[in-house]
Amino acid sequence: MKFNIQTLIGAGALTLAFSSCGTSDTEPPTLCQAQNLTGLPSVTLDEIEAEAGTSVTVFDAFCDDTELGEVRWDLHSAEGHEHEEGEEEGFVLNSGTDWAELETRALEGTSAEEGFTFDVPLTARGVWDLVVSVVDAEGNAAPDVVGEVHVENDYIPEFVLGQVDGVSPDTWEGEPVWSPGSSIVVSGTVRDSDGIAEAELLLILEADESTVWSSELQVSGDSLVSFTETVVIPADAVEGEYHFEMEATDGTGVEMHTGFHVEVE
Amino acid sequence: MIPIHRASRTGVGRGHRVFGSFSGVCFLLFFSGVMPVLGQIPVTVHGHVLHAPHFVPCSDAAVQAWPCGTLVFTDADGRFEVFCPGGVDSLTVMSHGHRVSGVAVSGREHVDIELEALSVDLEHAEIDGRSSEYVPEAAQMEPRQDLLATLESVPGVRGLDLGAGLIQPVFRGLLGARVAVLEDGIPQVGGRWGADHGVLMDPELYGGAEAVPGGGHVWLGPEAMGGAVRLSSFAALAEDEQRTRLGMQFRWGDSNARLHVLHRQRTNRTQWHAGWSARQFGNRNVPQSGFQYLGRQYRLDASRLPNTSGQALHGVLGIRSDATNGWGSLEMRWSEARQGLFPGIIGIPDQQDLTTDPDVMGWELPLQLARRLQLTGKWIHHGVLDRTLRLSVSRNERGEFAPPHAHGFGPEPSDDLSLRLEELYAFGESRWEGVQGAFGVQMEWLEGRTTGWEFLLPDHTRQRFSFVLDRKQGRGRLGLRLDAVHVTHAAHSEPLYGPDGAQIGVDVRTDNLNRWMPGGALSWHLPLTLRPHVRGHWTTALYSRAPSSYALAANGIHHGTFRFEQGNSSLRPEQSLETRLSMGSPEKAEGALGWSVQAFTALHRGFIHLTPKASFAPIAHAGQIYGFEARDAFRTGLEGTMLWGWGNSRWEHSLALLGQWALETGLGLPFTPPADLRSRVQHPWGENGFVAIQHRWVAEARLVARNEATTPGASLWGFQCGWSRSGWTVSLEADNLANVAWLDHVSAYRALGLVSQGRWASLRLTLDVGAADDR
Repeated sequence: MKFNIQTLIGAGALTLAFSSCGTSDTEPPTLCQAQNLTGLPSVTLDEIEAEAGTSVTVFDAFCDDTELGEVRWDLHSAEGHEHEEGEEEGFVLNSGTDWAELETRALEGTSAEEGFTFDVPLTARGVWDLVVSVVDAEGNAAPDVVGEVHVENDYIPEFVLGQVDGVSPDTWEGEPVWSPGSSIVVSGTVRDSDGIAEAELLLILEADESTVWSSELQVSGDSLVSFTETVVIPADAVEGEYHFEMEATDGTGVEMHTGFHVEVE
Repeated sequence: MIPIHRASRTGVGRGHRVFGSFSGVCFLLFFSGVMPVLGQIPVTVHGHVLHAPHFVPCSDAAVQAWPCGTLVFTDADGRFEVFCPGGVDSLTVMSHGHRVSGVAVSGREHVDIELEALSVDLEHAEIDGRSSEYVPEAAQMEPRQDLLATLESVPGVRGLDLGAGLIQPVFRGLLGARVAVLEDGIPQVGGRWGADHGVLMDPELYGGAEAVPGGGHVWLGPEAMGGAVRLSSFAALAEDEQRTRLGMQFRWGDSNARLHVLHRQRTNRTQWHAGWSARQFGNRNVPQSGFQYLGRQYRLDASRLPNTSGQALHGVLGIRSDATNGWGSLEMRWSEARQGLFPGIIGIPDQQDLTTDPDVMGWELPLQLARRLQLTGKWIHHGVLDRTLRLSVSRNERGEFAPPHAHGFGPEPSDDLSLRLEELYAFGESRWEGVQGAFGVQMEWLEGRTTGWEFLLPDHTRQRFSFVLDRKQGRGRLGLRLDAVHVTHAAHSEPLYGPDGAQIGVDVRTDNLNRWMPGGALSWHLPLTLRPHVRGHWTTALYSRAPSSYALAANGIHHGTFRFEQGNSSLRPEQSLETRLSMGSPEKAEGALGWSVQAFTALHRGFIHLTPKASFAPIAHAGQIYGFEARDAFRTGLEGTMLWGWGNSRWEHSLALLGQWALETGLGLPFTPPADLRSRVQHPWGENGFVAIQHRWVAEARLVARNEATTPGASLWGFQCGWSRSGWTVSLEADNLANVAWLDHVSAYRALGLVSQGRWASLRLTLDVGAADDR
């Protein structure tokens, strides 16, 4: 066999040219906000206000140059992560963070208007992220669009923290770090229009869910209770992740849980 | 003239024959003129012709008497007697394979003559012959500090790195089930379809390792499509002796420590070996402060990836016994890797999950456990046809453990076992080999069982029966393999729950499958010689490969790729036509240039790969669904090396280029590695040491698949020095000296925007010592 390098190069070039003949739609779909004339809130708004116990509809229009595929709404608590670099929500006491919604819907044509309706449970309070994802029929994915849903709640008791260890929680960057053997003064209020029947503060080791410190607040059915408690971290406390739990029950028996993460080291 | 004719028939070299005749004639002319003057000439002369230098009688030698020309032949004792009526003045003696000798009789009646055997001094000899075990395209891999570095020492080969126990070889952009890993010819399984399911092995516990690029190698099985890593067991020691190899290593950066010991001992015809290695490593250091996953931003507080620490243990025990007509061996290998899984690998992490543990060596949930136990036997019997029989059985286990979490509205699981894959595997090969080639049969059987609350793959089986023929044709070699692959997998369904927790239906994840699939390979290999010092190989192969059980039946979140992946039971074997060219010229002398180039083009019909679908996963912590589809593809690329030496210094460059496209769309195939250029300058340091500066330039990855992000390029500097003497070797290596935050396009961590390891330095000490060595 006579080796011919020119033949090889020619064949390779031919095949390479052939390979570039394939064409495909690589343009991702978009949220075409201009076509949304319903007046309903869009995910592109800076903030969507929602009231616990109500139904909310978020309405958006989607466009693609060839054919739309599917849209997904992913509503989840904003606790524990950010969606944009530098996003600063500040300190928020969330309740009912287990609540999440996930819905997908097939889309047809080159443009479609769709509304996503969700019922806000009475247990929810705080900030939720609504992530809208859309793909076209070829599988091209648009960048996720993330909106914030601020959930107000007049049904369950509400804790407000004034100072923790001498500073406002709003000044925290990341989660607080406490030391074994230290004492942390926590002050704030808890209120409910139906009166506060019970309220308790707890420090729970997440690894085994054991309670390492707790204190029941002195309440007498008032609608607003102020408190100042000293959290004592045991000297032999295991280093790791803890949860500072705040629980309250109003005069009608409605319970509420909230809190924040603490690192003990 | 008779002697010359006889010599001609014997095939003695032309130059020597002419020289012998010419010198003999000159000799005769000289003595025929001089001897009559010196004394009386005998009419009958007898004597012996003997082989020099041991005076062994030389039979059938031709003895010609001069001047009459009478010709006689020696008997079995080398004796002759010759008569000339006018007297004998000289003799000419000729024998096959010996120089022609002329002897002056000088009045003697008895003459003993010694003949010198013909010999030729060769500057260079080439033996054209090879075993079917030999793959000419293979490149030797030198054991380096770890498997990743060992793989990446060969241009075009990379390692997909998710931790010490989680490294996958990537050959020319292909990985997983498209790259075969063979231990002494035994294919390795263990969930190889998963990018995160690494190869459980330590290169230090093998006799050698080589990288075989490309597909269609008939003896390496259908999985060797992108290429193969061939690991060999230990060869027989040359004589009765003991050898022990010790090594220890520490790497700053991720506190990676390793220790290994290997002992080999031969007594008479029996040799045994035993060895183990242990590695412990901490959380990976990365020059990065945050990353993104499914649109969520996370912070990394201490420039480390939390919960990526782990440990790996490997062991080997084997025995080899030589017999008169062959040898046999038995070997057992076991491995275990246990490693924390970065919180983003399973589920959506909370920021507090990423808090760095002060104990960089500790790990917690989620974590991965991988185990392997393998027993291998090999018997070789020499005969008219050499017979080789290989048998192997193994058990491979992989488990992922994670905090229990429910998908959708289902109940929360009660244990930590997210997914366990257990594979029982058996392989057998019988091979007959002769001068003209080899043939044989291969059989493999795999049974895979999966459990855990995170469904990904159903129980499945796979059997392969292959007939292999490998025959020498002229200068080339023709290979043929015919495969019959039988695959099955079980149906799997799960309860479907509503928002109130009540079961509202059944979620069917997979259906039954039971199918035979044909396949095979046809290859033609031809050695090439363009110039005396420019040689290489040309290979053309047509081959097919049956889809993996994973490509047929997966349906769930694959944590190793952070995606929801769906199999496709309608997939058929993919077919490929591949041409490879390898040329090179070794460095010949000081100041000369050595080079080599390996290039390939491949057309794939129905190339099976994951493509994004127009739908989303039904669970929150997975994004778009990726499904296996078969689309035609074209791949091409080359690897080149250039080496220049002066004195004991060396200057090396290597380049790897790869392009691979889906023909239907014109887009790149997923995880196409970008161009990679490596340079290294090495100078001697004293008599036994060296110092080297190395640089790696990784180009920007622009050839991407749909929805795949481009990856910026990187420039990485490294340093290496070493010293060796009398079996001791000490080496220090540092890489990514500038602590560059660079993304590896082929790494699964790339999907999270997580960079590769930052600056590290590794100190390594090895000692190879024999029994007689008093150290």
